[in-house]
Amino acid sequence: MKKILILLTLLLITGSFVMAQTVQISGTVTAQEDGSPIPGANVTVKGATIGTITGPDGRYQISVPASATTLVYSFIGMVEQELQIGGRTTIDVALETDVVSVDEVVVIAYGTSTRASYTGSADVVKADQIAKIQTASAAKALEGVAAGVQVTGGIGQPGSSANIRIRGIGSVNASSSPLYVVDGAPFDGNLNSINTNDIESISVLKDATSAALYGARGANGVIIITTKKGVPGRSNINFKATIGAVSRAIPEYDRVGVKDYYELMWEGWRNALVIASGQTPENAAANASGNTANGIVNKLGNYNSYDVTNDQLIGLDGKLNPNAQLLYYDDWNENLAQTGLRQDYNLSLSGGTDRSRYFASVAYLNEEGMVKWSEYNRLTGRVGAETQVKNWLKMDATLSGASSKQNGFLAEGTYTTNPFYYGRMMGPIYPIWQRDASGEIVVDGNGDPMFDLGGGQSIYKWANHTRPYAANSNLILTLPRDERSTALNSFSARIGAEISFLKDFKLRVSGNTDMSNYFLTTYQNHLFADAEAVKGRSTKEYRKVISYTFNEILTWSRSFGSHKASLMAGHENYLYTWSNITATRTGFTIPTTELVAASVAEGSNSYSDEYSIEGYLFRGDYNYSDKYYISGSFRTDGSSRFYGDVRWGNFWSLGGSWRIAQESFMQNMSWIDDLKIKASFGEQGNDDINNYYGWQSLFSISGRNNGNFNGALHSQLENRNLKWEKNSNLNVGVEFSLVKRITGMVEYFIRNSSNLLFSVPLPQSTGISSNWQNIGTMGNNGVELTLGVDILKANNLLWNLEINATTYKNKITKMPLGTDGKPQEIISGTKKLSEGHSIYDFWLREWAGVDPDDGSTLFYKDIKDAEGNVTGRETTKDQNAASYYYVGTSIPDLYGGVTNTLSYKGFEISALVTYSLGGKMYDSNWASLMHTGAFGSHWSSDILDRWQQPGDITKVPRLQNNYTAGTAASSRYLTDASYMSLRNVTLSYSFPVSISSALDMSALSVFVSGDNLGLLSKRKGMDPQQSFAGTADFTYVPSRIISFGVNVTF
Amino acid sequence: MKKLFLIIISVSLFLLSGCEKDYLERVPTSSLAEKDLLSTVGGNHTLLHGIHRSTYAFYSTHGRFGQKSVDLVVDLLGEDLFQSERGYGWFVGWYQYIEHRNINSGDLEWVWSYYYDIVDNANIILANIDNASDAALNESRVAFIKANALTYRAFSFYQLLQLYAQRYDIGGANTHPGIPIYTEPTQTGKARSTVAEVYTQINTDLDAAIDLFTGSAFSRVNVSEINLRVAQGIKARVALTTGQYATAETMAKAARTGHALVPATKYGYGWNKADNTEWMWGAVVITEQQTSYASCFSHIDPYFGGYATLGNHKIISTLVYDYMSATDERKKVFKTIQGKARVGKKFTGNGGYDATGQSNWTNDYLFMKSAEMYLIEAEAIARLGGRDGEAQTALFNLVSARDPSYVQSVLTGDPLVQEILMQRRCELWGEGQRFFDLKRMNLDLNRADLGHTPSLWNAAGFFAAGDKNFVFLIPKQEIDANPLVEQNEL
Repeated sequence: MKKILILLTLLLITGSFVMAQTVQISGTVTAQEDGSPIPGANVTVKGATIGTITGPDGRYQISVPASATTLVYSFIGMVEQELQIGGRTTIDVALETDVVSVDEVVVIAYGTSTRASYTGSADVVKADQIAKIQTASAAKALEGVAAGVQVTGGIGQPGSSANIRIRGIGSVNASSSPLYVVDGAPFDGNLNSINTNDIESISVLKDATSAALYGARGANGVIIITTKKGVPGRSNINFKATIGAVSRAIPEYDRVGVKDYYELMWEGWRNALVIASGQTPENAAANASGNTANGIVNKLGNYNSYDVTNDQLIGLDGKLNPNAQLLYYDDWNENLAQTGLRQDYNLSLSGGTDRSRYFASVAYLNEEGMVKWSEYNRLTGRVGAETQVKNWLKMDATLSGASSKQNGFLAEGTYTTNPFYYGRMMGPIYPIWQRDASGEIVVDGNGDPMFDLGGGQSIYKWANHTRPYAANSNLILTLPRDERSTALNSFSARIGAEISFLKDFKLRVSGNTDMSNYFLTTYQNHLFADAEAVKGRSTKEYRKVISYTFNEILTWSRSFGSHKASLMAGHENYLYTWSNITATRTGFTIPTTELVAASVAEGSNSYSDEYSIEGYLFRGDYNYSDKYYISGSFRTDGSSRFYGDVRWGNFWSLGGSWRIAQESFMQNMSWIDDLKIKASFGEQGNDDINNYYGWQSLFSISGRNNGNFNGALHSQLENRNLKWEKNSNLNVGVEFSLVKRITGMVEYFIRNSSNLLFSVPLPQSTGISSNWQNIGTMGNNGVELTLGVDILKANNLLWNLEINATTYKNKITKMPLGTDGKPQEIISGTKKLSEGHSIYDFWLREWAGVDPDDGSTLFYKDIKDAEGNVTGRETTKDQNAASYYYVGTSIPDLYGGVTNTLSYKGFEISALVTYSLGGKMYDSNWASLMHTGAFGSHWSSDILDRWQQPGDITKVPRLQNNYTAGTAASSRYLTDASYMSLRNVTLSYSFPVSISSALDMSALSVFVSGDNLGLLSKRKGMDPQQSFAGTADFTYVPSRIISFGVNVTF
Repeated sequence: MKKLFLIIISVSLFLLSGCEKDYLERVPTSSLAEKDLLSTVGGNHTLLHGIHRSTYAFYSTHGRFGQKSVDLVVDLLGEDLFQSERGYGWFVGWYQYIEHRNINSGDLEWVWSYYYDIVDNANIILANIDNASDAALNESRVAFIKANALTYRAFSFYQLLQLYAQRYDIGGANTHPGIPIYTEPTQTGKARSTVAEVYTQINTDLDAAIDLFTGSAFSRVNVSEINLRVAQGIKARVALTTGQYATAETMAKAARTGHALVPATKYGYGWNKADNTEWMWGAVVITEQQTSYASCFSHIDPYFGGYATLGNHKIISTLVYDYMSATDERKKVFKTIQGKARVGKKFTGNGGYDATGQSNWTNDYLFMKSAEMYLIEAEAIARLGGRDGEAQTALFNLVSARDPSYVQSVLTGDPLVQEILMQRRCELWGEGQRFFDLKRMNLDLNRADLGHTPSLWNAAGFFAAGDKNFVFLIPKQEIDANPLVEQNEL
């Protein structure tokens, strides 16, 4: 309420005031280099807030107070000039090119800075780079282009996003994701709601100076997205159309063929009969070859792809009958795949006058996935405007909306409905359609092909055939009949007003909101597969996510002599609400997803969550003579996630820099264009534990009713001491530019997270098996390098190389003491958290190869003396007896990107290669394909190296149906995760002005762009970029997109 | 003038900006705070209903659905109930004696946490209900709720003990490790008490519960709640396990009071609907709370399109099947389905009487029935010795209700005990007792020649009595988080 009052007041005070006496001055701003006019250059009155911007012809006109003495001319990439007015009414000025663009504007927390004066660590990615990557999500556009940024999970599902870590891993159980800020306020919408073509720049803030002002939420870095606002003096209409083809970027794992499959299955089954059932090898072979229930064809569900009878298929020697002819083979992956069409159309208009700027856009994106029935479409619109209403009042507003729909499927885990599990693991002998004796597809009365569901009750149950893998399913049949969709309508608003008063004060008040309404449908059809028994099941969910951020920022800034200082104080509050309602019904007789048509109510639910933060923030900056810079900030935040007494946390930063190149003693070293050293230190916080009420003792009432009686169950333990996780951040760096063609930056960082928000395991026997506590300390330290070199710069030919590389080490330095007085160790999944190791160090059985005598899998096991001390180690065949060891980490040694850009006249070709060296991945996809003979499941071709007889030296254990130790989790499945990816290649051609002008266009270009064009990795089929933790899932494989586009500006 | 105005506006805007005091106080809507729930008797009863629900809730995988998951496991670990195929793989690891011998197994951890969660919630009730603001006004209801909590605690300890500890040695000292005992809410793990100590606690709780039930006039809402008869029934089970045969007899007799056996012709209809006089304890499931694929019926109903239909048919051993006479109604619920002999359709609601199952996922779960009490009574009397006639009668009272042609047994001594035990296997197939019986009587597990597919049992075809494989391993999570707990023999 109070906030609304403030906004109303703001609107009321825009009335007029008497203007002081003014003088009109006009002129042209040109580039000194070639005399061409510079549109969009800033012309301001020194010491006042009055300013204007040059038009398309470089001309400007400005009304200045009679008292004004000096005009300041500036333009990005040019050296700023100050000129005395001296009674003139026409002032022309030629600006000198600033070869190294050190004065590049950097959007930082609650304001902007310039590259030169900034003491912190930030990378800026510009619009032209962002636009090259064909994605619905800005997160994917950051891969390989900003030092210190790690991107994973960039799957191919149309409309999907990616995960980002900046400079290592900040937390164990709390979030390690950066904070996203869009146009000045934290963003809670879906990143996919922002059209990447609307983005002017993305700043990645990495150190304390940059991020501490977001105190509460800046611990893992901040990604600031600034949307386009239009360039004054240039009224443009821009249209960009891109049309492309979507296909699979990473090929399927190599898998065995039909013949091998039968033979290997026979072998695994024969061995099981011998080893587990105690049969003689002869009897076992006879059983496995025979046509009884114990024969391999029957075990495989009575599927025989050959033209011989079941008992003639595999001989007693385990070999396929040489006379057998293959009747059919259906490739599930191929039948699930398609070449998707991707269309992206953007229309924008932008422009401005000396007092106002605007940008508006509408865009439509439609992307079909490389697997059928996956698709994404999105309509976005945005209006951004900024106007100097009065000399003392400036207002700006950005409104954007998006409406999108994603159709797909559950591309995760071992759900039978996941095509990436299904297509990979389905044995090669299983057909999509039923076959007659000659292998031809059986048709029904209408001549339509008869599918095979591999079991179940429907009309597509193939008599006498029960597939042991995923019975009663056929995704080719059911995916088009089912629906899993997410429709998202979102709206974001950023509205601010800036009042200038006295001489040096400014107050900025802004109100911001992000609203997202999700409508989700999960529908399984009523005729076939999973929901056949209940005649179809449909779930509808409506989810409403709204956040508000209000902030009031007061700044004072002043220059006196060689001194420049500014101070800032502010207040911010933030409220996030999440509500949902969901309902499920079954019992359909007609094919519809609507609940109204279903007869049985299976369940319904609703609940909501709230989260709020309030903060007070302060910053001071000082610089002397543009050589010495110092800045400091402080913020205190209260979070609703913690108990009243401990909910406020204090966060701060201090930074300084020295531009050595500005010193007089450096002036004779002409090869040094710029040289700056900088350092910063500070503390930020983290409360993001994905649990809004982590401190409270709670009893869940969700899904706890007993029939019609209300129920509750203990769900969370209280911890009133739960407080902020603290993240200290040291950054030391040097920035340089040399010989007018080399720019670079080297930074060293140490991040330490203490009071880690840990979900600490408690004994299951006490009921609640974990509790949120602040324990432990973890650190990251590393080095980042960014280098840009103009390798060639002559005769219209420019070859530019940009390299970035990051290396870091992560280490847990303190764990809480356990009941035995020693530091605790916490084991979860494939990892163990303990002092001296990284968060992502694998803790697994260590694989010791294969016993040449019997083909058993071997693991290492500690030998202990009577006191329990380890005295050595031996091998064991029993996976339960095996010891666990640290066997590597998923954290790479070095990662980054290399961009080569070559331009000649209108042509430009750029290639982005991303890379990661070192680190391991637990390739569970491959592990699934290396089973010891599970009926129905597909096999990696690597299984051909299996142990077969005593004396065989191999890395693949014997086949044996149900041989558990043979597939037990161990270091066997760890694979080098190093990769090199050709992430993007873009070739563009800009037509000469003579041509575009003739067409009445101000610019015309065409381009061809390709994403994910190649990947070098240790194993074919493996996606090394699935997760930071180095684990894998049956996820949607990344897609390759090759597009053609045209870009027209009027 | 303008300056002043701007200053006033700006300063007031800036100063106006603080938030209300309760801006940072937020509470969830899908949970209740402890103080809001436990301060009334009704709130404590709500928690009790949460425990009831936990016995048939869905726990993240299709093989975990509360008490019936454990019951199914207890049968699959024996020799009388097995799966026809691997199918989708559910419960195969249990049947192969792999799941409970793998310390990393999520299923193994789930069984442990399932019972200890009940213990935790029961302890919270017991620690708080007397302090409820309206406790004095609702004495009967308080007694009823406490008795429920005590019985749940005893039942959970009893189940855990039989799974995670070596067997109770009747007549022995039983000083070998049992399980940790918790009688109040805590976050601190405890060491394993001895088997004897745990049984002492179980009996203390059950006796206290029986006293409270006896003194309470409060009636349960339906069979999902525990009442005096259920507490007595559990006491009877415990007494039989620990060789307290006189107690077993008394308690079994008392427990079945008011729970008449159904007529033979109704037998096949009786095991998925709670409106059956034999049902002493179970779960009454409504459509909204049934758990579809993750339900016992999905795994055991051969008709309905759940996992059983898709390959994992549950089959009865030839030994037990052949033991039943042709006129035995219990035999009629086993049929040849999809070419597989002796598939159990006991829990389909229309048993042997028509060709298909009923088409509905929503069914009730049976936890305890009076027929079992007849069997406990008969066995206890027979083992006490000298009263074989009474044992024969107790057995006849049950079996004649199943098989109209049944002739009262004239056996005595051990042969009589053996007949009672065979009838027990016929009667309690699929109800979660067989593995416990094997351990209770220290028998071998021998699956040979009972109709199993040997390759499917992997290495679990035969284990001699007392084998370490009869003991569940303590899950790794517990070992890691509770250094006081010692592991069983690996």
